[in-house]
Amino acid sequence: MRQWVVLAVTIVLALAISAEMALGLSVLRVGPDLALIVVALVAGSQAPEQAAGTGFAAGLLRDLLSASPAGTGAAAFALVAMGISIAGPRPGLGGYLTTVGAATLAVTFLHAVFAAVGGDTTSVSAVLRVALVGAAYNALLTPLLVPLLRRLSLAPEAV
Amino acid sequence: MSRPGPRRRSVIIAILLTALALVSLEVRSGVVGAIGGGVREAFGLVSSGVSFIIRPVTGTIQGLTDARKLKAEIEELRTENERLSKEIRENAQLVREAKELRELRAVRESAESVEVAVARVVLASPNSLERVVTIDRGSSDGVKVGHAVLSPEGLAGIVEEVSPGTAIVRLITDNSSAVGVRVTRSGETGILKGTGRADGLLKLELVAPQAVDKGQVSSGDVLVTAGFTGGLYPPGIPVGQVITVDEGKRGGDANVFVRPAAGLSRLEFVSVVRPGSSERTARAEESE
Repeated sequence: MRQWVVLAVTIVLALAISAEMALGLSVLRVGPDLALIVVALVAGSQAPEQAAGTGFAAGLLRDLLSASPAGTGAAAFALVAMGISIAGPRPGLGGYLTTVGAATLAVTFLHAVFAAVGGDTTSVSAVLRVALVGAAYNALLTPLLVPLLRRLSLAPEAV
Repeated sequence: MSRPGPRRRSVIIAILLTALALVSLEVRSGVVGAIGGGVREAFGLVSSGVSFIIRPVTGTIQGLTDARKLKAEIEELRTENERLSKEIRENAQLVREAKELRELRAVRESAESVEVAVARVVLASPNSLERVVTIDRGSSDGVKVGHAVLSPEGLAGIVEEVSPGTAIVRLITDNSSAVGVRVTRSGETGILKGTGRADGLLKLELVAPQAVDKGQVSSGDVLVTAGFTGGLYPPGIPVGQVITVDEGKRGGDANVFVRPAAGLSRLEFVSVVRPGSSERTARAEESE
């Protein structure tokens, strides 16, 4: 139970910090997504169903803070978290970076597709830019978050 | 690669069905919209604490990047200065620019709008695919969907959703944004659309595309809201300045790109307005 509370607080804080960073520290108009980094790193050590639940909750919270239809980001987060869980943990910095980078690409593309189905279209070039810059930005911040998540026992220790 | 088992398949189906149900629940106006408003208000409180810690850090980092920008800007201004000096000698551009500034001042003063509330930007969307921000004023302050939102420099966006204490503002740089505008110099009208470009430029689609060929729209032209009948934005609000006119596609297909007047990456305080006669202006006229 305690672990779930810690995870929920971490995701809320990650979203709040992301929203703050998106105001002043965006790169090429792309802000970091700390909640996605947390979900991606935690999913590796969760069962697929748990990972999907964590992803869905985090994605839904993110949707409610934005103008995109609620459920679109949630579905993207949940499917990607489940995918990471099924693929299994990839400890070590290289593994974390790959996981976060791939998760960012996948979430951005899936979210864009789901949003388009809901009638909220974005140009392909904008989606590509957000996906690539976002993946690089998130990967850059991952080494800063991993020790924190390990300290909170949310991310697996390196092998 | 192994196929997903029945349990995993059912989880995937459950995720997709739940998401579909949420989307089709008329997400913003119904239950989900109310929950969203509550969540944003709660996040506004969390964000106040977070920004107290984060803003000095982001400010320092921005300051470092700004120093580089300032250096580049000095260089740009130096070049610009030389160019303007040359133009003053040729005695044409300056007269036109002075006239334009007078016109802009006039339309700004005559912008028919009523201020509903002054708000603080508390959150930006964590989703980089959209350009929206949350402000700390909502329906209990008189803010309604469709109200225009201004920064000190010009139009910032439009209110998209409201809850009692917050509102979501879609910025004019968002992909789905469209603003009816008028060129102050020539009076040409068009629709200014968000492009989602990395440089934040907007694209102007003119009602009469041949206006570019006729020289009615050119680099440096200032755009204000047109205030079309039935439109959402009050007339006369500065929106941006034409930066480039694609010379290669003249004759109906010209690409006209516009830089927003508002500094949208550093929004802090904004004013929410609605179309209508300014009471302040009316009072000033009465006292005269």
